[in-house]
Amino acid sequence: MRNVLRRAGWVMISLGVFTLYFLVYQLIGTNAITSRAQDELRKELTEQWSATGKQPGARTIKAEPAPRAGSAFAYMRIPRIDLEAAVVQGHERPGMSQEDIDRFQRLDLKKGPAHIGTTKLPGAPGTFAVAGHRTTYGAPFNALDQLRRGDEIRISTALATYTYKVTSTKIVVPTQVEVLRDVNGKDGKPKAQIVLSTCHPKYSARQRLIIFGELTSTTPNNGTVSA
Amino acid sequence: MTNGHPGAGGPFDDDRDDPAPRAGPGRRGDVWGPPPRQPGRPDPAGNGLRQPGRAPGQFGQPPAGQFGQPPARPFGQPAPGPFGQPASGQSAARPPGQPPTGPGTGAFPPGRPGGYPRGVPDGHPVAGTGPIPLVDPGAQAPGPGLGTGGFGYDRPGSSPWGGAHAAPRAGGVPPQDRYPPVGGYQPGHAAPAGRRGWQDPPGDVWARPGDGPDGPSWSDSPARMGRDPDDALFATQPGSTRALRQRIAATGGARVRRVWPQRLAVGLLIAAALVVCWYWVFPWLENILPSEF
Repeated sequence: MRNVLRRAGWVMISLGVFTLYFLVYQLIGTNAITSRAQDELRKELTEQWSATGKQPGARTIKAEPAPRAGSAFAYMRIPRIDLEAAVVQGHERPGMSQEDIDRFQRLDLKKGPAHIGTTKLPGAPGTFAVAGHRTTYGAPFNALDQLRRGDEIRISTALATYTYKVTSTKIVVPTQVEVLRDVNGKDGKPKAQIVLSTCHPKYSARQRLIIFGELTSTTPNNGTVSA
Repeated sequence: MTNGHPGAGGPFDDDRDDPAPRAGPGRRGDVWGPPPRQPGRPDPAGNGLRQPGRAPGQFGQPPAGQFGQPPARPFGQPAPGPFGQPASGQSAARPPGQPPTGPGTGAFPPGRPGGYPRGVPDGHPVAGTGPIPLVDPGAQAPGPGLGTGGFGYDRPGSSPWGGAHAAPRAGGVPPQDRYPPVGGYQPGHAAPAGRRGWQDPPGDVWARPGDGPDGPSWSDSPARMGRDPDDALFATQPGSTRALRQRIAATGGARVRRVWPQRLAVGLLIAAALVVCWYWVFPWLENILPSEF
């Protein structure tokens, strides 16, 4: 009996240590993973945009080319919360099962903020949606709840820098995907807007914090990531 | 029983021969307490512990060579044992000025009074009884306990029974180990005294000061009162010596394996487990967990 209790105690201690170690991995170790991934994505963007800048007529604003899934295609800056991160193109496609969407989102979000592939590209009429972690994997959207109406969200691509201004915030349940739908403007056409989505509250996935913003300006990109 | 045998101090003088433990003095802890160590004077047994096979002084007399007293019997005369043979493992006396022979074995010098264990030729090193130098010769390890060695009644006036009732003992060597194998011990062969000599008889391990009717004894020292016997026992020794003796006591005198390979293996195992968890287990665990943040 004593041996059984002793072994049970050791098992419990081991499980506790394992759990603590997993927490350390989640809250600290995953940040290192995302940091490495972001470094690689920035380098990828720099090379990509440098090559684009050398092409004749590259500064003429056109429609954004379709980015490759899993690779970086834009750079996000939010001055209010000091956020600068490369945006990964998501794997989502229309008609994809929810399981695949969840699986791909896990992979994409480990690299940083990820564009939800079923939404529009930045600058295009319609909704451009970006999701990001709030507590783990670099926590790019950790302070997203501090955004206020009028705060700027800049999205730079190889062709242009798109500036959005926050219009509203909303807390929804994860199944409320209608927030990603396109919204028509006063003219009856889909308006170019941005939707940022992250978990809410912190350390929980029970809800989603949604940030809405409208496109206010588009300027040609100077071809550098850090500009 | 002890007193029923001729040649007190022989191998059969052991409490374990009793069918039932004696009450009172027979269980006293101070009886089997450590011998006093005088500063600057090494333990005669050379190991700083109990002196195996030692024939104590007769009925309250101090043993030969203890406390600077002259030997109780003439030099060169073997101590009486059962059936007339010398007491085994006698280690109390060493000719003055003669160093122990053998590296760490404490070989008895030729002509050693008290004789050798049967089967051990003169001059043959007896493993385990060698002169391990005492780190703190003046330290006194009070009370009974594993590896403390010595018998309390070796101290003058310390016998709780008085001289007439002092139980002469042959030492902590059990009867089955007092006789060497056929052909005697070979070089490198640990003698019984070496294998078992550091372990007190089982009945003495649990003895506590004040068990007997004589009240507090010498072992009821302030350093011992209110403390765990083992703590008090090892409190006066340096850490390395204390750890070694604790390990020896824990293993009953058996050969102690090195610890660092095991610790190294455990450390490497833990490090490997951490790496495996970090790169494989946790990512897999994330995928099967229902939510992420």
